[in-house]
Amino acid sequence: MPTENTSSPSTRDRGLRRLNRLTMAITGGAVASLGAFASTAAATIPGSSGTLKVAALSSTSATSNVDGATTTTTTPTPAATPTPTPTASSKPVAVSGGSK
Amino acid sequence: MTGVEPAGAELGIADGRALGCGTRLLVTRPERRAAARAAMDRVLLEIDEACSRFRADSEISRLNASAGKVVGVSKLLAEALETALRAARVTNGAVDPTVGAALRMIGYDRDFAGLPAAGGPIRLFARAVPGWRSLHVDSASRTAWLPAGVEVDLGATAKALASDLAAEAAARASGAGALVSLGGDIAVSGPPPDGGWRIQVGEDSGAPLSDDEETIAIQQGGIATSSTTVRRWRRGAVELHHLIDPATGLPADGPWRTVTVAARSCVEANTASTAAIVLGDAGDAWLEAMGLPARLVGRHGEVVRLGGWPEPQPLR
Repeated sequence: MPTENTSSPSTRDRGLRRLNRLTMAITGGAVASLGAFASTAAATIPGSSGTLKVAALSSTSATSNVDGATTTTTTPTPAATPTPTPTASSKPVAVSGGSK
Repeated sequence: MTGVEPAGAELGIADGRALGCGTRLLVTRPERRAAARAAMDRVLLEIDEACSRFRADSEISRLNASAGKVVGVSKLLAEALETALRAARVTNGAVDPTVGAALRMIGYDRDFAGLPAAGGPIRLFARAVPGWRSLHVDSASRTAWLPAGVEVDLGATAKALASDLAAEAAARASGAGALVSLGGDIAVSGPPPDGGWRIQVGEDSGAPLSDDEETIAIQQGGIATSSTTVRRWRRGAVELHHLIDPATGLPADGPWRTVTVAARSCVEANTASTAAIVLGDAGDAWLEAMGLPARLVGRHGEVVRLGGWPEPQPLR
Protein backbone atom coordinates (compact mmCIF):
# COMPACT_ATOMS: atom_id res chain seq x y z
CA MET A 1 0.00 0.00 0.00
CA PRO A 2 1.50 3.33 -0.94
CA THR A 3 2.31 5.69 1.91
CA GLU A 4 0.84 9.16 1.69
CA ASN A 5 3.52 11.81 1.80
CA THR A 6 2.02 14.77 3.71
CA SER A 7 5.15 17.02 4.02
CA SER A 8 5.12 19.96 1.72
CA PRO A 9 8.26 22.12 1.20
CA SER A 10 6.96 24.77 3.62
CA THR A 11 6.29 22.13 6.27
CA ARG A 12 9.80 20.79 5.81
CA ASP A 13 11.29 24.29 6.11
CA ARG A 14 9.38 24.91 9.33
CA GLY A 15 10.69 21.64 10.68
CA LEU A 16 14.25 22.50 9.75
CA ARG A 17 13.94 25.91 11.41
CA ARG A 18 12.62 24.27 14.58
CA LEU A 19 15.50 21.80 14.49
CA ASN A 20 17.95 24.66 14.04
CA ARG A 21 16.52 26.51 17.06
CA LEU A 22 16.73 23.34 19.11
CA THR A 23 20.36 22.83 18.12
CA MET A 24 21.21 26.43 19.12
CA ALA A 25 19.47 26.01 22.47
CA ILE A 26 21.34 22.79 23.21
CA THR A 27 24.67 24.38 22.22
CA GLY A 28 24.01 27.43 24.39
CA GLY A 29 23.09 25.25 27.33
CA ALA A 30 26.24 23.20 26.91
CA VAL A 31 28.43 26.33 26.86
CA ALA A 32 26.69 27.71 29.95
CA SER A 33 27.14 24.40 31.76
CA LEU A 34 30.83 24.31 30.82
CA GLY A 35 31.26 27.85 32.12
CA ALA A 36 29.54 27.00 35.39
CA PHE A 37 31.68 23.88 35.75
CA ALA A 38 34.86 25.84 35.03
CA SER A 39 33.93 28.50 37.59
CA THR A 40 33.22 25.86 40.21
CA ALA A 41 36.48 24.09 39.45
CA ALA A 42 38.46 27.33 39.58
CA ALA A 43 36.94 28.21 42.92
CA THR A 44 37.41 24.82 44.54
CA ILE A 45 40.58 23.29 43.11
CA PRO A 46 43.67 24.88 44.68
CA GLY A 47 46.48 25.93 42.36
CA SER A 48 50.08 26.99 42.81
CA SER A 49 51.43 30.52 42.91
CA GLY A 50 53.16 30.16 39.59
CA THR A 51 50.08 29.50 37.50
CA LEU A 52 48.22 32.14 35.58
CA LYS A 53 44.71 32.99 36.60
CA VAL A 54 42.66 35.60 34.83
CA ALA A 55 40.13 37.34 37.01
CA ALA A 56 38.93 40.83 37.74
CA LEU A 57 40.95 42.34 40.57
CA SER A 58 37.86 43.95 42.03
CA SER A 59 34.73 41.92 41.75
CA THR A 60 32.18 39.93 43.59
CA SER A 61 33.90 37.76 46.13
CA ALA A 62 33.01 35.12 48.65
CA THR A 63 34.65 35.14 52.06
CA SER A 64 34.75 32.05 54.19
CA ASN A 65 33.60 32.57 57.73
CA VAL A 66 34.74 31.09 60.98
CA ASP A 67 31.70 28.82 61.05
CA GLY A 68 32.29 27.66 57.48
CA ALA A 69 29.52 29.75 55.92
CA THR A 70 30.34 32.18 53.15
CA THR A 71 29.65 35.86 52.80
CA THR A 72 29.42 37.36 49.34
CA THR A 73 30.56 40.93 48.90
CA THR A 74 30.80 43.13 45.85
CA THR A 75 33.33 45.87 45.43
CA PRO A 76 32.08 48.65 43.18
CA THR A 77 34.62 49.68 40.57
CA PRO A 78 34.67 52.10 37.67
CA ALA A 79 33.71 50.59 34.35
CA ALA A 80 37.11 50.36 32.72
CA THR A 81 40.76 50.23 33.62
CA PRO A 82 42.14 53.75 33.24
CA THR A 83 45.00 53.98 30.81
CA PRO A 84 47.83 56.33 31.65
CA THR A 85 48.42 58.90 28.96
CA PRO A 86 51.76 60.20 27.76
CA THR A 87 52.66 63.70 28.72
CA ALA A 88 55.30 65.69 26.96
CA SER A 89 55.10 68.51 29.46
CA SER A 90 57.37 68.49 32.47
CA LYS A 91 56.34 69.29 36.02
CA PRO A 92 55.32 65.97 37.49
CA VAL A 93 53.48 66.44 40.78
CA ALA A 94 54.20 63.09 42.45
CA VAL A 95 56.49 60.09 42.12
CA SER A 96 55.46 56.46 41.94
CA GLY A 97 58.35 54.26 42.94
CA GLY A 98 59.42 51.74 45.50
CA SER A 99 58.33 52.61 49.01
CA LYS A 100 60.77 54.64 51.07
CA MET B 1 67.35 68.79 35.28
CA THR B 2 66.03 68.12 38.73
CA GLY B 3 64.16 70.23 41.23
CA VAL B 4 61.16 70.95 39.04
CA GLU B 5 58.77 73.60 40.29
CA PRO B 6 55.98 71.29 41.41
CA ALA B 7 53.02 72.96 39.78
CA GLY B 8 52.42 74.72 43.10
CA ALA B 9 50.60 77.60 41.50
CA GLU B 10 47.46 75.58 40.87
CA LEU B 11 47.63 72.79 43.44
CA GLY B 12 47.65 72.70 47.22
CA ILE B 13 50.49 70.48 48.45
CA ALA B 14 51.16 68.89 51.83
CA ASP B 15 54.08 66.54 52.42
CA GLY B 16 54.64 64.42 55.51
CA ARG B 17 55.39 60.98 56.83
CA ALA B 18 53.05 58.20 57.98
CA LEU B 19 52.79 54.40 57.91
CA GLY B 20 56.57 54.20 57.71
CA CYS B 21 56.86 56.10 54.43
CA GLY B 22 56.79 59.56 52.90
CA THR B 23 53.35 61.01 52.13
CA ARG B 24 52.14 63.61 49.66
CA LEU B 25 48.70 65.18 49.37
CA LEU B 26 47.66 67.33 46.42
CA VAL B 27 44.33 69.11 46.01
CA THR B 28 43.02 71.08 43.07
CA ARG B 29 41.67 73.81 45.37
CA PRO B 30 44.68 75.05 47.38
CA GLU B 31 42.48 76.97 49.79
CA ARG B 32 40.90 73.65 50.87
CA ARG B 33 44.21 71.96 51.62
CA ALA B 34 43.81 72.03 55.41
CA ALA B 35 40.44 70.27 55.30
CA ALA B 36 41.81 67.66 52.92
CA ARG B 37 44.91 67.14 55.07
CA ALA B 38 42.84 66.64 58.21
CA ALA B 39 40.66 64.08 56.44
CA MET B 40 43.71 62.22 55.09
CA ASP B 41 45.44 62.21 58.48
CA ARG B 42 42.37 60.70 60.14
CA VAL B 43 42.35 57.82 57.66
CA LEU B 44 46.08 57.19 58.03
CA LEU B 45 45.86 57.16 61.82
CA GLU B 46 42.97 54.68 61.72
CA ILE B 47 44.85 52.44 59.28
CA ASP B 48 47.95 52.59 61.47
CA GLU B 49 45.97 51.64 64.57
CA ALA B 50 44.27 48.78 62.77
CA CYS B 51 46.92 47.36 60.44
CA SER B 52 50.46 48.13 61.63
CA ARG B 53 52.44 45.00 62.42
CA PHE B 54 55.01 47.22 64.14
CA ARG B 55 52.69 48.58 66.83
CA ALA B 56 52.11 46.30 69.80
CA ASP B 57 48.75 47.99 70.43
CA SER B 58 47.42 47.65 66.87
CA GLU B 59 44.51 45.40 66.07
CA ILE B 60 46.58 43.24 63.72
CA SER B 61 49.18 42.68 66.45
CA ARG B 62 46.42 41.57 68.82
CA LEU B 63 45.03 39.26 66.13
CA ASN B 64 48.47 37.72 65.53
CA ALA B 65 48.95 37.28 69.28
CA SER B 66 45.57 35.56 69.57
CA ALA B 67 46.08 32.91 66.89
CA GLY B 68 43.80 29.98 67.55
CA LYS B 69 41.03 32.16 68.98
CA VAL B 70 38.15 34.00 67.39
CA VAL B 71 38.92 37.72 67.72
CA GLY B 72 36.59 40.70 67.31
CA VAL B 73 37.84 43.23 64.74
CA SER B 74 36.88 46.74 63.73
CA LYS B 75 35.03 47.45 60.50
CA LEU B 76 38.25 48.91 59.06
CA LEU B 77 40.39 45.88 59.91
CA ALA B 78 37.70 43.59 58.54
CA GLU B 79 37.82 45.57 55.30
CA ALA B 80 41.63 45.44 55.23
CA LEU B 81 41.65 41.68 55.85
CA GLU B 82 39.04 41.08 53.15
CA THR B 83 41.03 43.26 50.77
CA ALA B 84 44.09 41.10 51.47
CA LEU B 85 42.11 37.90 50.92
CA ARG B 86 40.70 39.25 47.65
CA ALA B 87 44.23 40.08 46.49
CA ALA B 88 45.34 36.54 47.35
CA ARG B 89 42.37 35.03 45.54
CA VAL B 90 42.78 36.92 42.27
CA THR B 91 46.54 36.36 42.20
CA ASN B 92 46.11 32.69 43.02
CA GLY B 93 48.13 33.19 46.20
CA ALA B 94 51.02 35.20 44.77
CA VAL B 95 50.07 38.05 47.11
CA ASP B 96 49.45 36.36 50.44
CA PRO B 97 48.80 38.03 53.82
CA THR B 98 50.17 35.11 55.87
CA VAL B 99 53.78 36.15 55.30
CA GLY B 100 54.19 37.74 58.75
CA ALA B 101 56.44 35.04 60.20
CA ALA B 102 58.49 34.85 56.98
CA LEU B 103 59.16 38.59 57.14
CA ARG B 104 60.27 38.29 60.76
CA MET B 105 62.55 35.39 59.86
CA ILE B 106 64.40 37.49 57.29
CA GLY B 107 64.82 40.29 59.80
CA TYR B 108 62.00 42.69 58.86
CA ASP B 109 60.64 42.88 62.41
CA ARG B 110 60.28 46.62 62.92
CA ASP B 111 59.51 49.82 61.05
CA PHE B 112 61.92 49.97 58.12
CA ALA B 113 63.40 53.26 59.34
CA GLY B 114 64.64 51.42 62.44
CA LEU B 115 65.93 48.37 60.60
CA PRO B 116 69.76 48.13 60.53
CA ALA B 117 71.03 48.21 56.95
CA ALA B 118 73.53 45.47 57.75
CA GLY B 119 73.92 42.83 60.41
CA GLY B 120 75.31 39.43 61.22
CA PRO B 121 74.31 36.30 59.30
CA ILE B 122 70.91 34.79 59.95
CA ARG B 123 69.59 31.30 59.25
CA LEU B 124 67.35 31.21 56.18
CA PHE B 125 65.31 28.24 55.04
CA ALA B 126 62.75 27.86 52.31
CA ARG B 127 59.28 26.97 53.51
CA ALA B 128 55.95 27.89 52.00
CA VAL B 129 53.89 30.32 54.08
CA PRO B 130 50.76 28.90 55.75
CA GLY B 131 48.56 30.33 53.01
CA TRP B 132 45.69 32.79 52.79
CA ARG B 133 43.05 30.08 53.12
CA SER B 134 44.06 29.69 56.76
CA LEU B 135 42.80 33.21 57.54
CA HIS B 136 39.07 33.42 58.20
CA VAL B 137 37.15 36.68 58.33
CA ASP B 138 33.48 37.27 58.97
CA SER B 139 32.54 40.84 58.23
CA ALA B 140 28.96 40.34 59.38
CA SER B 141 29.98 39.42 62.91
CA ARG B 142 33.25 41.35 62.65
CA THR B 143 35.41 38.48 63.75
CA ALA B 144 38.60 36.92 62.45
CA TRP B 145 40.45 33.72 63.18
CA LEU B 146 43.96 32.42 62.51
CA PRO B 147 45.40 29.00 63.28
CA ALA B 148 48.19 28.91 65.87
CA GLY B 149 51.55 29.72 64.31
CA VAL B 150 50.16 31.93 61.53
CA GLU B 151 51.00 35.63 61.41
CA VAL B 152 49.33 38.12 59.11
CA ASP B 153 51.14 41.02 57.47
CA LEU B 154 49.06 43.48 55.45
CA GLY B 155 51.99 45.37 53.95
CA ALA B 156 51.11 44.35 50.40
CA THR B 157 47.60 45.81 50.48
CA ALA B 158 46.93 47.99 53.54
CA LYS B 159 49.04 50.95 52.40
CA ALA B 160 47.33 50.94 49.02
CA LEU B 161 43.95 50.69 50.72
CA ALA B 162 44.96 53.64 52.87
CA SER B 163 45.79 55.63 49.72
CA ASP B 164 42.39 54.85 48.21
CA LEU B 165 40.47 55.70 51.39
CA ALA B 166 42.55 58.82 52.11
CA ALA B 167 42.16 60.21 48.58
CA GLU B 168 38.43 59.66 48.73
CA ALA B 169 38.19 61.30 52.17
CA ALA B 170 40.37 64.23 51.12
CA ALA B 171 38.31 64.84 47.98
CA ARG B 172 35.07 64.67 49.93
CA ALA B 173 36.30 66.98 52.70
CA SER B 174 37.73 69.56 50.30
CA GLY B 175 35.15 69.41 47.54
CA ALA B 176 38.12 69.21 45.17
CA GLY B 177 40.16 66.70 43.25
CA ALA B 178 42.74 64.99 45.45
CA LEU B 179 45.84 62.84 45.02
CA VAL B 180 47.35 60.89 47.89
CA SER B 181 50.74 59.22 47.62
CA LEU B 182 51.94 56.90 50.38
CA GLY B 183 55.46 55.86 49.57
CA GLY B 184 54.70 55.92 45.87
CA ASP B 185 51.34 54.12 46.11
CA ILE B 186 49.08 56.73 44.54
CA ALA B 187 45.30 57.12 44.49
CA VAL B 188 43.30 59.98 43.01
CA SER B 189 39.71 60.99 43.61
CA GLY B 190 37.42 63.73 42.38
CA PRO B 191 37.94 65.93 39.33
CA PRO B 192 41.57 65.91 38.12
CA PRO B 193 43.50 69.03 37.15
CA ASP B 194 43.75 69.97 33.46
CA GLY B 195 45.76 67.33 31.67
CA GLY B 196 45.37 64.85 34.51
CA TRP B 197 47.64 64.07 37.46
CA ARG B 198 51.20 64.03 36.13
CA ILE B 199 53.15 61.27 37.82
CA GLN B 200 56.84 60.56 37.52
CA VAL B 201 57.57 56.87 37.30
CA GLY B 202 60.74 55.35 38.68
CA GLU B 203 62.18 52.87 41.11
CA ASP B 204 62.41 55.07 44.20
CA SER B 205 59.44 57.07 45.47
CA GLY B 206 61.92 59.29 47.31
CA ALA B 207 63.50 60.48 44.05
CA PRO B 208 63.25 64.22 43.41
CA LEU B 209 60.75 65.44 40.83
CA SER B 210 62.59 65.83 37.56
CA ASP B 211 62.09 66.95 33.98
CA ASP B 212 64.24 64.07 32.80
CA GLU B 213 62.29 61.15 34.21
CA GLU B 214 59.46 59.25 32.55
CA THR B 215 56.15 60.93 33.35
CA ILE B 216 52.59 59.82 32.61
CA ALA B 217 49.20 61.26 33.44
CA ILE B 218 46.14 59.61 34.98
CA GLN B 219 42.62 60.95 35.39
CA GLN B 220 41.26 58.44 37.89
CA GLY B 221 42.07 55.26 39.79
CA GLY B 222 45.48 54.49 41.13
CA ILE B 223 49.06 53.72 40.29
CA ALA B 224 51.49 51.68 42.34
CA THR B 225 55.07 50.51 42.12
CA SER B 226 56.57 47.46 43.75
CA SER B 227 60.34 47.23 43.80
CA THR B 228 63.04 45.04 45.22
CA THR B 229 65.57 47.87 44.94
CA VAL B 230 64.59 50.26 47.73
CA ARG B 231 63.66 48.40 50.90
CA ARG B 232 66.78 46.24 51.11
CA TRP B 233 69.07 45.18 53.92
CA ARG B 234 71.99 42.83 54.38
CA ARG B 235 72.47 40.02 56.87
CA GLY B 236 75.86 38.40 56.61
CA ALA B 237 76.62 38.10 52.92
CA VAL B 238 72.98 37.96 51.87
CA GLU B 239 70.99 40.89 50.40
CA LEU B 240 67.33 40.77 51.40
CA HIS B 241 64.18 42.67 50.44
CA HIS B 242 60.59 42.79 51.62
CA LEU B 243 58.65 41.16 48.74
CA ILE B 244 58.10 37.57 49.89
CA ASP B 245 57.38 34.69 47.53
CA PRO B 246 54.72 32.71 49.44
CA ALA B 247 55.93 29.49 47.81
CA THR B 248 59.32 29.73 49.52
CA GLY B 249 58.83 32.22 52.35
CA LEU B 250 61.94 34.01 51.05
CA PRO B 251 62.40 37.25 49.08
CA ALA B 252 61.18 36.86 45.50
CA ASP B 253 64.02 36.19 43.08
CA GLY B 254 62.56 36.70 39.62
CA PRO B 255 63.62 38.64 36.54
CA TRP B 256 61.69 41.84 37.41
CA ARG B 257 63.13 44.21 39.99
CA THR B 258 60.50 46.96 39.70
CA VAL B 259 56.93 46.91 38.37
CA THR B 260 54.52 49.85 38.08
CA VAL B 261 50.84 49.29 37.31
CA ALA B 262 47.88 51.61 36.68
CA ALA B 263 44.45 50.30 37.65
CA ARG B 264 41.00 51.27 38.83
CA SER B 265 42.24 51.68 42.39
CA CYS B 266 45.54 51.77 44.20
CA VAL B 267 44.73 48.42 45.81
CA GLU B 268 44.29 46.83 42.39
CA ALA B 269 47.48 48.46 41.11
CA ASN B 270 49.57 47.38 44.09
CA THR B 271 48.15 43.87 44.09
CA ALA B 272 49.12 43.49 40.45
CA SER B 273 52.58 45.07 40.74
CA THR B 274 53.45 42.85 43.71
CA ALA B 275 52.07 39.75 42.02
CA ALA B 276 54.10 40.43 38.87
CA ILE B 277 57.34 40.48 40.84
CA VAL B 278 56.46 37.35 42.82
CA LEU B 279 55.33 35.46 39.70
CA GLY B 280 58.75 36.06 38.17
CA ASP B 281 59.02 34.72 34.63
CA ALA B 282 55.23 34.53 34.39
CA GLY B 283 54.70 38.06 35.72
CA ASP B 284 54.53 39.91 32.41
CA ALA B 285 52.18 37.36 30.84
CA TRP B 286 49.94 37.53 33.91
CA LEU B 287 49.75 41.32 33.66
CA GLU B 288 48.90 41.07 29.97
CA ALA B 289 46.19 38.54 30.72
CA MET B 290 44.76 40.92 33.31
CA GLY B 291 44.76 43.71 30.72
CA LEU B 292 46.52 46.15 33.02
CA PRO B 293 48.83 48.92 31.80
CA ALA B 294 52.23 48.20 33.30
CA ARG B 295 55.87 49.19 33.17
CA LEU B 296 58.39 46.55 34.20
CA VAL B 297 62.09 47.00 34.90
CA GLY B 298 64.23 43.91 34.54
CA ARG B 299 67.14 42.87 36.68
CA HIS B 300 69.60 44.66 34.42
CA GLY B 301 67.54 47.82 33.95
CA GLU B 302 65.75 46.91 30.73
CA VAL B 303 62.24 48.42 30.56
CA VAL B 304 59.16 46.64 29.16
CA ARG B 305 55.82 48.43 28.70
CA LEU B 306 52.58 46.45 28.48
CA GLY B 307 48.83 46.87 28.19
CA GLY B 308 48.80 50.34 26.70
CA TRP B 309 51.42 51.85 28.97
CA PRO B 310 52.65 54.79 26.89
CA GLU B 311 56.12 55.12 25.46
CA PRO B 312 58.07 58.06 26.91
CA GLN B 313 57.40 61.32 25.07
CA PRO B 314 60.23 63.52 23.82
CA LEU B 315 60.53 66.54 26.07
CA ARG B 316 59.48 69.85 24.64
